[in-house]
Amino acid sequence: MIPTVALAMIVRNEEANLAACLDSVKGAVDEIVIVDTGSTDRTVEIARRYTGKVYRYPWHGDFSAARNYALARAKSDWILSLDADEELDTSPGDLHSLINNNSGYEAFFLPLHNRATENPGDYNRFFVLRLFRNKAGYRFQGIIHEQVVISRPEAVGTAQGPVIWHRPLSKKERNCKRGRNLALLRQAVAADPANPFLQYYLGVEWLGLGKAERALPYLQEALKQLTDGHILFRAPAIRLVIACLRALGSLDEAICICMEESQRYPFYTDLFFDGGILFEEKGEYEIALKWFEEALRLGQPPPLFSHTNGTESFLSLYHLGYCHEKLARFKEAKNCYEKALALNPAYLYPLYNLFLLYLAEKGPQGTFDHLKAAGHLNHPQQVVVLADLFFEAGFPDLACACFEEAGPGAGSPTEDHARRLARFCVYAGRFEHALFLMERIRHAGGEIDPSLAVDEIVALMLKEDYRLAKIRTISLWRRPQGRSPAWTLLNLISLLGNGSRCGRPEKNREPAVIETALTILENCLRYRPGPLEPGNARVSSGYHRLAQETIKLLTSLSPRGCMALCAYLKEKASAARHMLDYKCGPARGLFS
Amino acid sequence: MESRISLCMIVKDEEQNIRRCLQSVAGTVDEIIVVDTGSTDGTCQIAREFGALVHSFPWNDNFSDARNASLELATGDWILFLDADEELAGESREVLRRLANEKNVEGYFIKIINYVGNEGWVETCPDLVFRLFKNRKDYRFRGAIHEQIADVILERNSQARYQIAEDLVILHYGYLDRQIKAKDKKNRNLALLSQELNRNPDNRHLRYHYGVELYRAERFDEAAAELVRAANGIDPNTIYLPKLLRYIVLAYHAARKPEQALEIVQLGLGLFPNYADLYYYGGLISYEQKDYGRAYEFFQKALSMPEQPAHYAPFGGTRGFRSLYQLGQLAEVFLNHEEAMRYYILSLRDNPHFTPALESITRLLKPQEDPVYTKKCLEQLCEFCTPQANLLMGQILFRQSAYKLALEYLERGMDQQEAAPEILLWKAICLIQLRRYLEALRILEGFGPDHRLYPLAKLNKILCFWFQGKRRKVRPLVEELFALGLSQDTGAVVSLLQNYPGRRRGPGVTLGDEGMSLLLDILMRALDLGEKERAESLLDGLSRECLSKNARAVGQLFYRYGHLKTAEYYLGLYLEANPECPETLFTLAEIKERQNACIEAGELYRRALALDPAEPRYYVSLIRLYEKMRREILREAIDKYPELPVLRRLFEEANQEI
Repeated sequence: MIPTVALAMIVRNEEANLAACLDSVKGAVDEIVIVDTGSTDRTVEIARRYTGKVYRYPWHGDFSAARNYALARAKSDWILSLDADEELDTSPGDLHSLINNNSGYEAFFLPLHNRATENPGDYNRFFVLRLFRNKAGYRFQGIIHEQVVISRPEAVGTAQGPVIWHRPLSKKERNCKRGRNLALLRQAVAADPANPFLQYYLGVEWLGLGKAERALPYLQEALKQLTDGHILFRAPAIRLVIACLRALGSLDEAICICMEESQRYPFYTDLFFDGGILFEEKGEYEIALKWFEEALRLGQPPPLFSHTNGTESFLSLYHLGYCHEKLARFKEAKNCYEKALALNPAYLYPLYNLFLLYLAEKGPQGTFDHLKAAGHLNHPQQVVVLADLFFEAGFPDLACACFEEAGPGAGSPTEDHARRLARFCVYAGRFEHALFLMERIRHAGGEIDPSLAVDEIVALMLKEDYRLAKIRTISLWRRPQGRSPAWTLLNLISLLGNGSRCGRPEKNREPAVIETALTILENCLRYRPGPLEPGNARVSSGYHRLAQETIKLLTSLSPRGCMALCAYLKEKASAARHMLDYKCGPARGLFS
Repeated sequence: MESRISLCMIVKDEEQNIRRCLQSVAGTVDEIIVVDTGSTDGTCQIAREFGALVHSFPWNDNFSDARNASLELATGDWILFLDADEELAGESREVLRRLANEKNVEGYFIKIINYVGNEGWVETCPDLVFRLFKNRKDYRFRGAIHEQIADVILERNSQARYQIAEDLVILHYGYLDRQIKAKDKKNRNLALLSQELNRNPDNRHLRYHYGVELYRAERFDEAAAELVRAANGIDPNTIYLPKLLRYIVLAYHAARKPEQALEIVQLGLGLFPNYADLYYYGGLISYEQKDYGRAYEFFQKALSMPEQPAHYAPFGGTRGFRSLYQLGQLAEVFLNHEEAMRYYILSLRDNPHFTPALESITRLLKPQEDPVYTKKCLEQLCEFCTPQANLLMGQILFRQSAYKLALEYLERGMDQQEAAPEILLWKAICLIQLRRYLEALRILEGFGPDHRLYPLAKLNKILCFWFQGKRRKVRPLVEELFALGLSQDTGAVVSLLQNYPGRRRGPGVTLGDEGMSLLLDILMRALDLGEKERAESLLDGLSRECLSKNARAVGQLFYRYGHLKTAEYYLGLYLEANPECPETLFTLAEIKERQNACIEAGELYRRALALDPAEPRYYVSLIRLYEKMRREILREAIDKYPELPVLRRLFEEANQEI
């Protein structure tokens, strides 16, 4: 006979998540039991749409009690336990066949993928005991981080699926939960001071709050007491101790732990990744390389060992690339970055490094051609990153090209893309086109925010349409946060027109006035004439004049204006020096 | 009892060399055995003069057989082997006697100093060779070429001990280019070696020599392949491994495979971390690859190396003047002329005969702009006490177009000795450039029609009048010059000298490289004389495409003489046809900067940089431009707001960063 499965959960104020959770198990379970511990939103109403078994249970600070109340109301042979912010990645029948095909087990560990961000590859893998026989003896224990206790460990199976996905929490949600958890944990520890699990969770919460020095003693104590029988906890405890020591700057101590524990678990990928990170931080790149290579070689660690997705692939590859780069082995570095991006195109850090490496080696056009050929313009996030990078590096024409030559994989252009492209066009010598794009955004009901409005007015000035520029500036003046930029623009229009300018802005407006001027100057200096554009001398001279007048405005404005301009030039010089250093670092003695 | 030493040699047609060799050992060795393999000159005669026992042995394409024939005749306790193109260094004679009295040594590795290159530019290259050993019946040579005996002795007598005797020195002249050419040694060796390699394909040492000969014959790809084959799986203690590695690097480099060359450098340094030559070549290759950071590290490393063991056969100066000179060049790449000067001076101190360093120093002193200062510096740096030194200095200054100063040194050198005709011609040119036409003409008249420099003298005579605008005098001289039979290109340039300024006939001429280089030289001399219009009149006669093709060189010349507008025009012309030329953009940027158009200058520097991101000069100029703008803004601000001390402080800070 096919066994039946009940989903049992406790909820409070989960109107945002509950439907997604229940949808994910639709058809996969035979019964749903929901216990509400005091919602004040539409949670109960939503729950009722999925099941008749919705109960209320007054909250008195004990998770186990509430969950056991739910268990007692389930009639099926097996229990699946989920939280409202989780979803089960399953098809109907998966759970039943898991149970049927592995008879003799009393319970199963299921993989839980804990998302750190919305990025699909960015998660940690844990194993959790969430599927167990519905027996009176199997009840939750502990007021917090409650667990079902199965006395015979060999009766617990480990399943590779279905996977439970845990939604990423916002910072606010997380900290709110942490405060609550710490209070409950303190209470629990008072009752059971030697319990290593509670020590472990206390460490986790403190580290989550960024207090490594408070977390460390709890985690060290937990690690000391936990045995291989508790590998579910022991494995993450090792990594958390390492993380604490690293945060506290005790790299050598952290390395010792890594060495010891990697001897004990020579198959545990994440430890080798952590070791690599530690050596990398010490500047021992050659050694770090060996650790990352081992992590890559090992692949995924065995089940039950908590695992950060990517340590066996793109994360290690990214760090391998970084170490090679530091050792001036650029070819290998590029290779590793490319591989990391291929394995997880949404993990963008390697793209920044690749960009700089190529720029220093091939120049801007060569970099663009290469990145395009390598398919990096065929991915929605990579296109935006690259466009921004080209613009920042002073190549607005190529920033435009990133959008204009994007592949089908980049998706259809969004309003955000359109705004970026319009801005880049203003400084790429294509101000007419920029104006057209902005009109189109307006037409489609999109917003021209004050910073884009500045670019639009700059485009009008470059077009020498001072009349419309003035009109637009006046309407900018009327918008909140529009007044100071408008002051700058009005003065520039007047300097370009008849060479005069108005007096001084109000004192409290001066910083914003200067900032707008510097932004305009910086952007105008990004312009570079294309080699073969007809009439480009005239276009160029427009940017030169505007830059010149902006400098004049800043120097004549006030001492503060002069100083801001000087700070800007100093920054430019040091950016160029930085590039040179990047290219010829070891010969530093000859140029700085 | 004193040991007796037999000198053994094999010779063929060595009358040029053998006397020097035998003189160096006369009175030191107890007998001389000369095996002649078929001389047709006075070699045997000379040998007999020195009391040698001369034995004829028909050449059978096998060096070992010939050498063993000489061993058969030797009666001494020790054998010293020399080639006719070698000699024993003077101070070595006593050492030789001392070595021969050592009881427990079977043979010695002796230091040999190879002289390489042209005789005008001689390099020394030391090495170790096995040339002194006990005379025993069973010690005989093996191998048809690069014959070996050291390993034979070890096979016969496992107890044999060898020593290195660095104080015994052989000087070898056989690698001097003249001699190599004279004897066609390369081809002879290659043929013999490849025959023998066919018989003994596993002989590593033989393959090494074969690779080296291929390298000398400039067959670099094959050389690299053979040398790598010789090195694969070699015992790292092999005495010639360091040399082998260096040859692999050189061969790869010459075969334009710099990445492989650098790989071998790294590999070699793993085995011999103190090997200065590998660092030096690593630096040279990285420099050519525009990997300046790495080049800097390599040269600095080379400088820090300890004294090199003789079996590395080190190339002179890699731990000193050569690396110092390269560091000077590197500093110039970063526009750091002070540091460059410092390195060049250090280089010259390490080797006062190293002309490239002196030339670079002179160039950096800008002798044309500031002859007085240049002279003061040069006099402090060197002592010009020989005529050669003065003439060399004059020549260097001449090449830098510093005619006034060049004339001074040339005259000083000429006072002390009879001047070569080239030097006279240079002197005449200097005089022309100082508008001392009569004196110049007097010298130029001295070259008769039979003299090989006659056409050049004639041309300069024409220039004498051309610079003065004496067209009537130019015309007949041009005709005379044509009568000598000029190449088409040169002829075209010479006809241009007859043009009226500002007037153009027909479509204009198109010059080849030879003509253009002559034209640029005349252009430069006109500008040096301040004859800008005359210079431009020459360009009027060129065809549009010829001018456009050479506009960059022309523009740079005008820039060098301070004609910014004209320079800008020609560089712009070049850019129309070559929009992606970073060097042109860079020169244009420099011009804009000098015209105080900082924004345009910045844009041009950035464009140059975008096209060639590996060129440090572009970065450095851009950095300097931003810093200059910053200082100027602060200076103006101080004038405007003198009451604010913070501006002064910022100004001082900005000044300190220069």
